[in-house]
Amino acid sequence: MMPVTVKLDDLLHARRMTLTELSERIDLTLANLSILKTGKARAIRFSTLEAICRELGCQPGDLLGYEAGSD
Amino acid sequence: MSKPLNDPLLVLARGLTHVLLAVTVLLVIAVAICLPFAVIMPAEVVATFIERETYAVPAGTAGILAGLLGAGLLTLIGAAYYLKQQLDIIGSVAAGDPFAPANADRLSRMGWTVLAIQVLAVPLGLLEYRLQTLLQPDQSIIAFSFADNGLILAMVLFVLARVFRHGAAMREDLEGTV
Repeated sequence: MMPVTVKLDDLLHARRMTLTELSERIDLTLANLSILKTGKARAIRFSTLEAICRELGCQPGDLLGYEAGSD
Repeated sequence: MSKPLNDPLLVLARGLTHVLLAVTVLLVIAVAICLPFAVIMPAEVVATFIERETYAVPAGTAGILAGLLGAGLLTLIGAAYYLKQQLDIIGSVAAGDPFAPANADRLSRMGWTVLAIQVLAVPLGLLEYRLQTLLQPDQSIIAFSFADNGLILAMVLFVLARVFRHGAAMREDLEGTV
């Protein structure tokens, strides 16, 4: 498990948005967005982070979390 | 993996490499067939290629012919192997995935193949010279010269192999980046 966690599920649920809708809005493939959602991504570009925060109306800290000692 | 590339230059390179590979393979077969005849019937083989006043050939001609054709065969096999590696690299570029460790390995092998062909050129040239002095002693000898193009090409291929290995490592770093 990566120490950095991605809370995309919760944010999507709160905004009543599907992963597919979000992928279309931020011009990221559904495959890559799924990789992010399932915690398999190794890195995220600032441009992707910016686009997600813009569409979900959140801060990076709302999307990403850190749990020490979970690697 | 990146999207496949439809580069006209790649299409041309692929087509040309296929043609060259086919021709080289045919030459390999032809030389392999000629080799035993050169040993068994050297006079007939010489008569096919060189106009001479006498039909009989000096002693040792069969051995030199066999050596010449053997070295030539190895060179052609090396050339075919080189072209096959090149074809595989072109295929990976066309598929949009050139920076793979496999391509670094291919380029390295191509470099060694070119070096081997350069090394083979030395006995090949010496045998050619010897054959000419045996068969046409009155004619001026074609001087054997060592071409450095092959060495430069080998060096470029080894450097490119390093570039591709580094590129593959960078690509792996980016894998999983969204």
